[in-house]
Amino acid sequence: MARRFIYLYFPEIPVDHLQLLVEWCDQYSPLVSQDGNDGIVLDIAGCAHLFGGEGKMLLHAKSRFTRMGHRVRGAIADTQGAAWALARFGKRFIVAGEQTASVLDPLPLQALRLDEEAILGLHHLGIYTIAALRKLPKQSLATRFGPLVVRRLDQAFGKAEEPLNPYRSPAPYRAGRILAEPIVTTNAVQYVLHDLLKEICARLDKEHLGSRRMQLDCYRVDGKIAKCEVQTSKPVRSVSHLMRLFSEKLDALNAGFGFETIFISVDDLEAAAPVQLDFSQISKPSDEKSIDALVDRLGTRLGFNEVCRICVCENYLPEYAVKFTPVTEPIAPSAEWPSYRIRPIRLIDPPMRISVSTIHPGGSPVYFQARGQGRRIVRSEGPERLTSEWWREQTLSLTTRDYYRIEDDRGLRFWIFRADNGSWYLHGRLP
Amino acid sequence: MSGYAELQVSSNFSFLRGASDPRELVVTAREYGYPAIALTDRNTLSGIVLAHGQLKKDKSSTKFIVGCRLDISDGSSLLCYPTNRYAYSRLTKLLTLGRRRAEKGECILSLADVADHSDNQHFILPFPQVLNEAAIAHIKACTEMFRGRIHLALTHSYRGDDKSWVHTVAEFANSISLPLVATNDVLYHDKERKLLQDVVTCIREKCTLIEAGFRLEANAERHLKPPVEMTELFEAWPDALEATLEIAHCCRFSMDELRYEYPDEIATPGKSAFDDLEERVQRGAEVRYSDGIPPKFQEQIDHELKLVEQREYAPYFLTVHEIVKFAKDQGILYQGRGSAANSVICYCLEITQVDPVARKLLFERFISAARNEPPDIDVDFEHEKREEVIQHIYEKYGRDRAGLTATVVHYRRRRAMNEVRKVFGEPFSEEQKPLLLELTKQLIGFPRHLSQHVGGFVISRGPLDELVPIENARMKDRTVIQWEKNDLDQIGMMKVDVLGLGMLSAIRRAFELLQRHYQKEVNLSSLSSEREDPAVYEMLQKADSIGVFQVESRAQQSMLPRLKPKEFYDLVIEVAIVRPGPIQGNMVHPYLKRREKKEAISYPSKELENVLSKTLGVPLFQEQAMQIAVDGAGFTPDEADQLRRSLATFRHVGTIATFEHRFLQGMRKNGYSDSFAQNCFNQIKGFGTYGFPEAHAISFANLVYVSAWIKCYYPDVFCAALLNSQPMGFYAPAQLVRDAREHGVEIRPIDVNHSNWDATLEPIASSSRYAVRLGLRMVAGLSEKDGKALVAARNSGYSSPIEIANRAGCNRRALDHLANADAFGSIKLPRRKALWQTSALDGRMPPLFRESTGSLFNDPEMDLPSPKPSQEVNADYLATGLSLRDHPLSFLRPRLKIRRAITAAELRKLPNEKSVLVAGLVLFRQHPQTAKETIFLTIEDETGAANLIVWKNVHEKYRQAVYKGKLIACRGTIQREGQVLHVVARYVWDWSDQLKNLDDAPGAAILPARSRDFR
Repeated sequence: MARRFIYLYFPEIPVDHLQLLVEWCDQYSPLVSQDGNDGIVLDIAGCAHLFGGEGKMLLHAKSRFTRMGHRVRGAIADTQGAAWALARFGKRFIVAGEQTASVLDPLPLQALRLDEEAILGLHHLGIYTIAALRKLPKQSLATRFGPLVVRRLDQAFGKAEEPLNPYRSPAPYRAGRILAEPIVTTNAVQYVLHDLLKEICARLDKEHLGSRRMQLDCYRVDGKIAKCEVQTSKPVRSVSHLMRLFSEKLDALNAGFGFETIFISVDDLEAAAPVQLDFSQISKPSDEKSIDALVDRLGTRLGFNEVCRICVCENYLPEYAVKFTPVTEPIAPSAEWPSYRIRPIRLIDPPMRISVSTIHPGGSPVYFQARGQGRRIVRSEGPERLTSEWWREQTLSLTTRDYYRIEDDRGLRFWIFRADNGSWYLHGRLP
Repeated sequence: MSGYAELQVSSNFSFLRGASDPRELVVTAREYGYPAIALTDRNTLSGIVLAHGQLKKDKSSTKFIVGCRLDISDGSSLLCYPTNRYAYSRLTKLLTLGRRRAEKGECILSLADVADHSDNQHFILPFPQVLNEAAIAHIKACTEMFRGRIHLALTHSYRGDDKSWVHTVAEFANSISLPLVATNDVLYHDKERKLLQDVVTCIREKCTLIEAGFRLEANAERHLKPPVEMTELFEAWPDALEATLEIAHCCRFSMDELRYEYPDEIATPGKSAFDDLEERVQRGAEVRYSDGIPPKFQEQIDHELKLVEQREYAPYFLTVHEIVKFAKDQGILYQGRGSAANSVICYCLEITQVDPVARKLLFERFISAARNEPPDIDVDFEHEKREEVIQHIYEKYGRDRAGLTATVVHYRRRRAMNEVRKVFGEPFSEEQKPLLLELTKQLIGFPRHLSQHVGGFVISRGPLDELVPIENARMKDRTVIQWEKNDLDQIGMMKVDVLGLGMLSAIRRAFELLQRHYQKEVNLSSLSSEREDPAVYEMLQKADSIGVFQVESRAQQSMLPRLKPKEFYDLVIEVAIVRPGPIQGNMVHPYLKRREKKEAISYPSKELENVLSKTLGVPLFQEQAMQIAVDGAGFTPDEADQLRRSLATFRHVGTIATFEHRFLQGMRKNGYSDSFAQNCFNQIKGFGTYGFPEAHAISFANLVYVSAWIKCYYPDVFCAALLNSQPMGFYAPAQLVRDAREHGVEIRPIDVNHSNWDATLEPIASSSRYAVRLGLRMVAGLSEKDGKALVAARNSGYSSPIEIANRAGCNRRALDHLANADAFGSIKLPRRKALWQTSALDGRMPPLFRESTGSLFNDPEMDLPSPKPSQEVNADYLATGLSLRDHPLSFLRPRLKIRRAITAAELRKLPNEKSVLVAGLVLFRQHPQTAKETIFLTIEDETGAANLIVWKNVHEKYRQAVYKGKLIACRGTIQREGQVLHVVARYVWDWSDQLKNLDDAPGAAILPARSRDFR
C-alpha cells in the first residue's frame, strides 16, 4: 500500500506553541511528528477512511485549527517532502502518484528544503525551479552542491526513504489504562491511579529515581482531556505519599460523561538515592513524618507559594535584609553577613518611637524611655551609619540612620537609631 | 602646616569607582583650607595633570601630591607617593611595566615589581576591613620591605564598631611597629555624589541597584570632609593626624619639576639643533626660490627662526622634518595640514606646500609670543602607508621614547542614558524618570576609558616613560601615554600628528600611472606651484567634480556653480565655506551675494575691515571669527583661544553661556548690531569644532586643485587611481566608473587573463589614451591572496578554470567568485557556463589529485538556461557592485513610464517650480548636523543623478521609504538656483519591489542598493 502523508504548516505560530497542537493530532494518526517550529507531519496511511476520505480528513484538521485561531496550510502527498513543498509553496494540496511531478515542477528550489548556500549556487547557474533542477545529472549535482541536494530531490519524489520520527517515543515513565467501561466516580479513579502509581514507582525505585512533578491525564468520552498534576519539593517515589497528594486534587476533576482512558507520566525526574529501611520504618514509613512530607502536604493544600524558606540577602537596611522564598524554588545561598554588622533576630515593625537623652547633641545615648519606662544606658556602641536606598524611595536626597547597640543597667540589650530629624526609634532587641 | 591632609583620594579616573572630577576634588580641598591633597587613582596618573593644573591656575596654597593606588595582582593594594622627581620617574616606569604586559586597560603588578621601583617612594597601606591571615601576611610583608617609609591607614567608615575596630587594627600595627596615618578613602568631593557613586558601581559590576547589595557603600561618608571633622573623628589618634602632615611634607615632588625635552640626536653631528635647523631652512628656501629668495621671504625666515631659537623649538621642527624626510624617501605622499601652513619654516622644510608669505598668512597663528604653548604640526600621509610611518617612528626612537597621545573617551548623552537606565533595571517607573535624568546629566562627561589619539605622537629625549606611564592600545603594536592633548600643553610637551588621508593614496597612484604610461613626471610641489590652469576651473564651475578631493560632496557640488571658482584662492574659499561654521553663522548667502555683486561690500567697522577684507566682509575662516572676538568684542587673544577650546570640548557647557554673554555685550559696547553679533557668535560656535583655519583650507585646496587637474587631463588615470584606493571618498566604484565613461574613458571588464589585482591602464589601438581595466579587487568575496596568486601564475594565460586552480592554487570558492563576476570572458565562458565548471571543483582536494578531477569536466556539457539581460546586470551588481552593460533602471523604465516617472535627464530640462515624479536607486542619504530637520537624498537612474530635499514633515510621514528604500519614487517641486537643481519632496514612496522584475525567477537575489549614509 502506498504511503500517504499530511503536512500541516502554521506560518504564524508563536514559538513553543506547536507542541500543544502536535498532541492534539494524536486523533488522526499514531505517527505524528513535529517538524521544526512551524509544521506537523502525520503518516496517515490507512487512517483517512475514519474521516470519510483524505479530503474530509484534511478539511477536518484545518477547520479545527482555524477555529483555535491558527493560520494553517495543509497538503497530502505520497512523500513527506512533497507534502512539505505543497503545504508551503503549492497551489494544489492533495496529489498522488503520477501527478506529483507535474505539481512539484514549477515550485522554487526553496520547496525542497535545501540549505541557503546550495540555493544561492544554483541560482547563480540560472536554476530556479524544481523542473530545472531535475534536468541536471544527479552525479554532477552531488559533486557541486553535496549529496543532500540529491537526497532531498529523491525524497520528494519518493525515490529515497525518509523515516518519520514520532514525537512520542515510548515514554520511559508513563503508564496508562484503556478502560473497558467509562468511569465517573473518584473512587474508581483512585483505584486505577493506585495501580498506575505502583507500576511507575516500582520502576523509579529500581532506577534510583524520584518524581518532582507527575501528571495525570484523564481522556473523557467527549474528547476532552481532564488533567491534574502534583509537585513535590524533593524527588519522591512513595506510592502512599503520591496517592495522598493526588487525593487532594481528584475531586476537582470533571469527569463529564466519564473517563475512558487514564495515563500518568513523570514530567520531572531527579536522582534519589535508595534508602535502607529499618524495622520500625517498615511498619511506619518515615516519609510521612519527615519535614519534606509536611512541606509537600502544606504546599498541596495551601499552594507552594505559601510555604517559604528564610533567606538572608545582601542589604544593609534591616527591613530588606531577610527575604521569604517559596520552597519550590531552588535554595539560594544566604548572603555572607559581615560579622560586625550585628542585627536583632526580630525587628520591631514599624520601629517604636522612643525618647533618648544624649550628653551632647549628636553624641552617644545615655538614657532612653520606651512605653513610659525609663532605662539608664550603661554601654553603647556606634553609630553604624546607613543611608536610605534612594532609588527605592525615588528621591535624589539621601536620608541617614545612625544605629547604636546599647545595654541598660539590667543587662538588656537594644538596637536603636536616630533618624535625620533627630528623633529616636527602637528597632529590635539584641541577644 | 597644621591640621589634616587628605592622602587617599580616588577621582573618576579610577574608572567607575570615583564619582568626582579631579578638579572638583582639589577645588573643594582648597575651599576647605586643606594644606595638601593627594590623588591616588588606581594604577593610573591620568588625572594628575588636571588636578595640578587646577590648583596652579587658582594660585592655591593647597599643595598637590602626586600619588597612585597600586592594585597588586594578588588582590592587595598599596598607596604610593613619589617623594622626588626620581621617585616619580620610577613610579611612571613601574606603571608602564604593569600596563605594557597586560591587556588594554589592565595592569599586572607584583609586590616584587613595586619593591624594585620603591626608592624614595612613600607608601600607605589601606585600612583593612578584616584582619584575616592573608591581610596580616600582606601587611607584615610590606612593613618588612618598606620599613621607615610606610604607614598603615586608619579610616573611620561608620560601620558600627569603629572605635573597637580601629583600636584592634592599631594594636596590631603597634605590635609590628608600623606607624599609623588617618585617611578618609575619598571617592567624591561632595556627599550628594553618593548617588552617582552607587550608579557607577552598578555600571562597573554590571548589575542593577536592587541587585547590587554589599557592592554599594553602606553610607555617604566617603566624601572629602572638612579638616576639622577629620580631626574630631581621630581625636584619640593624634599621631595618625600628625602623620598626614609629615607625609605631605616629605612628598616634595611637584609636577612643575617635569622638564620635557625633544630628542637631540636628530641634529647633524657636531652642530647644535638650532644651527642645523637654520641651515636646513636656508637650503630649503633656496630650492623653493631657485632664482633668488625675495627679501620679504628672507625677513620672515629670520623672524620665525628668532622666535624658534628663543623658545628652543628647533629640535621639534627637526623631528618633524625627519619624519617627512622618511616619507619622502619611501615615496609616501604627505602634506602638512592645519596651522603649520602659517609657517615659512614648515614651507622650507617641505612639511607644507603653502607659501605663507605669498598668501599673507600670519606666523603668530602657529606659534605666538603671547601664548606660551608648544606648536602643533599635523601631517597627512597616504592612508594606506600611515602605519609604516608610525612603525618607523617607534623603531627610530624606541617604544620607551615615542608614544601616541591618549584621548579620554567620555560618557556621551546616549551612552550615559543607556547605562543609567540599565542600572535602574527595566521597567522603570514614571516616578524614577527625574532621578534617571539627573544622574545621566551628572554622568555625562565622565571619563570612560583611554583611547588612542588618531595620530598624535609624543617623542622625548630621555625615556618617555620617565615622564608619563605608557600603556597598550587596543590595536596591535601601538602604545599610548596616559595623558591627552590638553595635559601635554600643560606640561609643555610637543606632539606631531601623523594622520591618514585617502586622497593622498589616490594621488600617489595617479602620479605613478602618469609616469608609467604617459611618461609625465609630476609631484605635489610641481603642481602646486602653477595652479591657475583655466581648464581645471572650467570643469569645476560645472560641478563636474565626482572624485575630486573635498568638493565632490553634494553640498560642495551645489556650491561650485554658484561660487564659480576662477583662481586658486576661490578653491580655498570653496573648501572653507561649505562647513558647519559658516553655515550655522548664516555667512554663506551674504558672501555669495557680494561675490555676484548683488550686494555692496561693507564692513561692520574700521577695525574689522582689516580682518575681513580677504573674504568680502564676511567671516569664513576660524581665525577671522576669533579675531572678531578680539577686535570686536574686546577679548584678549588668550581669551579668544580659551573660547575656541571650550567650544571644542562639549564638557564645559556652562562656560559657553558666560562667554556668549560677554561676547554679545562686548560687541554691543563697540557699536555692532545685535544680529551681527549673534551671527558672529553662532559662527564661532560652529567653528569650535568644525571650522577651518585659512592655512588649513589652503592646504586642502591644494589637494583639490591637484586631484581636479588629474581628473581634467587624465580621466583614465584618475579613475584607476581612485578605484585602487577604495574605500575612500564619497562615491562608490559604480559612480566613479560611470563618471569616467561619461568623460569618454573606455572601461574594460574584469577578466582572469587581463586583470591585475588593481585596476590597470591598457593601451587603445590608434589612440594616445588608455582604457581602464577593472581589477580583481572588485570581485566580491575574492581574497587578495587568491587574486595575487592568480596574477602571479598567469604567464601566457589561462584557458580553463581548472588551470587556475592548478597553477595558482585557488580553491573552488575563489573560482566561484570569479565566475560570478563573469571574469572568464577571454576564454569564452559566460557566467553560468563558467560557474558550472568552477562549482565542480572541490577546494578540499589536495593538489596532486586535482589533475584527475579533470574527468569531472567530461560530465555532460550542460544546457543551462541562458540569462536575460536584466538578470546579467543584476548578477554583475551582486558580484562586483557595478555593471558595464546597462543601468538596472533601464530595464524597469517601461514600468516606471507607465507610472509617469520621468528620468533625471528629462528633469534637467524642466522649468523651475514644476511638479514632477522621479524615481531612482538611492545613492546617498545625508542627515547633516547643520540642517537637522532635513534629509538630502541623491538618487540615480540610467540617465544620471537627481537630488532630493526632504523636509522634516515629509520624511516623518514617509519614514520607511526615506530611510529604508532601495528604489524610491518622489513627487515634488523643482527648485532651481542657477545651474543647481533640487526636487523638494512632497511624497516619497518605496518602489523597491519593482527591482524584483530584474530577475523574475522565483526566489532570486536582487541587487543590493549600496547607498552610503552620511551625517
